[in-house]
Amino acid sequence: MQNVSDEAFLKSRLAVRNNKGSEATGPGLEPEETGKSGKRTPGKLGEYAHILMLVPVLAWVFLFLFVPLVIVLINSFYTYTGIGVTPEITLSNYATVLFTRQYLNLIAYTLRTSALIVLVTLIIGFPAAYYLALKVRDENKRFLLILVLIIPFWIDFTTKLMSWFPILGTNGAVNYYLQAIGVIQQPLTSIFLSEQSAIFVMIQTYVLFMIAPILLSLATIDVNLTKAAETLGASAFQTFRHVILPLARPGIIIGSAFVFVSTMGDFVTPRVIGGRMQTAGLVIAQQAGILNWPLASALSVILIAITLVIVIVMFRIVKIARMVFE
Amino acid sequence: MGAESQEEASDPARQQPDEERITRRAAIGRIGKIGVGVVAAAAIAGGGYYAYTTTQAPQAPTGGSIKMFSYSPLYAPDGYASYLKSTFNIDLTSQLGSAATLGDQIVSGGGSGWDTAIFWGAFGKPIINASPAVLQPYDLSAVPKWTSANLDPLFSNPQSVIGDVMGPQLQRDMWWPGKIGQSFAAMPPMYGVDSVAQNAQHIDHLLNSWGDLMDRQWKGRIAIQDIPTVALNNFALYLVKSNQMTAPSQIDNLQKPEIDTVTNYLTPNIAAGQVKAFWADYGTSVNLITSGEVWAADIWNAAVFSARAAGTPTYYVVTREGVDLWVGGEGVSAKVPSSKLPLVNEYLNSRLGGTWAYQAGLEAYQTPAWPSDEVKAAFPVEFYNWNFLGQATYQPIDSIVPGQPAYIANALFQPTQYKWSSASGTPSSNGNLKDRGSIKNIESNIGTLETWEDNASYYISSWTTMKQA
Repeated sequence: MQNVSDEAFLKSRLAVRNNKGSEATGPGLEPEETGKSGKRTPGKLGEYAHILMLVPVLAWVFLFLFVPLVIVLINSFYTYTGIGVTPEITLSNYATVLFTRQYLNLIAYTLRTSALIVLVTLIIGFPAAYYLALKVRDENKRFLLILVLIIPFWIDFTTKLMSWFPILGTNGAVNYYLQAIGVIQQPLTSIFLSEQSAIFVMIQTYVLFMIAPILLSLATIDVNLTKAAETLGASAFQTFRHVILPLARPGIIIGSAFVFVSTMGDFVTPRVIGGRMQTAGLVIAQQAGILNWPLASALSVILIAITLVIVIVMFRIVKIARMVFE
Repeated sequence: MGAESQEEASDPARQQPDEERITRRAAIGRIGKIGVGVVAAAAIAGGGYYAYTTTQAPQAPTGGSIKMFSYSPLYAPDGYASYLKSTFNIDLTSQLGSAATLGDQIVSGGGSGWDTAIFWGAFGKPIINASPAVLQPYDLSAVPKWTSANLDPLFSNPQSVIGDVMGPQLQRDMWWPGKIGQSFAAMPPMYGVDSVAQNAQHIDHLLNSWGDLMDRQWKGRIAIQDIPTVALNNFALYLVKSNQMTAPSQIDNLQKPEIDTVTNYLTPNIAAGQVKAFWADYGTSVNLITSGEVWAADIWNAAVFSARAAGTPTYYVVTREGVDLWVGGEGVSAKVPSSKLPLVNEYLNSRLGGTWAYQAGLEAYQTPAWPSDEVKAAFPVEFYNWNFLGQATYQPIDSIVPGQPAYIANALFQPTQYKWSSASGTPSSNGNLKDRGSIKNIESNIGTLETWEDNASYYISSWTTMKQA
């Protein structure tokens, strides 16, 4: 019975991998019509279909990402008057950010924190994704486990942050149980509302952003490859090192990029949970709050540029496009 | 601006002719700008407007919706919203923004998405002076309840209460530039004074100084607001009164060296871990107190009642160096059409009435018209005397909050839960007193005004450096 199940599982994997017609289609997904030559004969609309399909997302990205970014860029060269902005071009905002110790420290600290969170979410997220993709064969069980990961995202972000008070707080569950089992005599007051607690919460918040892409990468791995490695005498570690890890790399890189970018821009968690934690996002919000948009914009542009360089380098290192699309 | 001239300005009979001329001129001007070829069309199109403003008295509004943008849910409690609906058929919907970035949110939106916006003086200058304008002025005659007879002297004659530096500044934060006493930029629907809240379970005596927040016995148990343009001035008050700083010419508008002096005082305290958290929104501030993480903080007055409602005994203390005055103002969007202004005016006028004052009173705040007869009539006598005149409740505290020592019981008193008497009575010698006493007492101790600072950006950069300590 187990063998039959394995066989069916392998078939389904191969079907997904090779996109075989009869297994990949279903009601409403009939194979496309073919011409006499056996090749597809799309109509005129079909020739442009791929372009039309991109129009909504391109329009969205243009209007709500590109245009605002251009506005931020333009603002970064404007002059702050003390109560607003005047369109006098200046580089002083960039000079302030790049040649003032406090802003350089701020950027370095934000980068360091984001990198740490990426690393920890990867360490935590990879085994979870691996288990879900390659070890759980019962679809219902997999669905339930993924649901457990997703459910926290159904809750309002601020409410979720506030819910850490009764967990990590001085009078919270963690302190209670640590006292109950005799590990500590007095509640630990330094674990909450601190840099550590904010990092901890951000790890919890963003770990799904790491798990999801890795899970998708691992789910497309042809199980025959791991079987072949085993047959050829590879140990479990060697199979992981030489087969699974390289194939999971696109997911790892995409997940890392998601987490890195998200944590760089998160100023709510440090504000609510971080005690006196001071990130670039917080300072951008504060400067924008007094309408010093030029300085806030300059700081934003520099952060975006740094993030972009890091993400490009990551993608270049693993040749992400080739791995994803080939 | 004295009380007399304000009375003159508030006289609708004196205001009307000017207003009418301006409106006529504006209407004619509009037509004149249109080319000869379209005069007929303009006459038809503009005719209704002209006729409305000159030959017909403004129609009483028949109701509608008002979209209000503010930084606190306290400006639109259910009791007030249902009053507006039942009395004026006004549907009040509110949209909340962050207190820390209020100016940004109001100005960057260009006045779109709301009819009125409530902000306080800390963001007043850029909002009122925004170009292009996000607000439009509204005449004193739009809010007939704004009369010196109705008003606290803080508003009818600010200089007499807060002096010649803060007084004119308060006026600049309320009135349209160049039209003080004539046209509002943002009429205050509510005001209050901020000081220090403390958890009575953990601190067994009343604090009395901003400097107490840096007392090492409360190390790691303090929160301060993450709005440097407000927080730094409060500590400047302490430093001046304790002779650690030369008195600035304007304590609510510090110069760079003065800001440095304050941050130099705070930095070693921050580095030592004195401050557990920095708060930037109301909910967080309440949570910090009720969770027991923080024992004292420079939070808002209403947050004290929210903490009490959660069962945390909390006091709002008198800081001997002075308290921090804030005045909320409600501006009208530049995009509100003239046809909607009668409705908006009716709504704004209700902000000076009894129902709204009562709702604000439940949060320990007051409206500028709290001395008016209408407001008096809206309050049970006992509540009015407690809230504004500093008199004790008729019932002793041990019968209101039984089973607790008086120090804790008083810190648990909630005006929303107490059954106020509508009859005249005798204040109990053991009754509850409102924290910090009567409005007169509180206003005699105002040390600083929350207003826009010329060096706001420097406040933030110094604050950033301080937090990195």
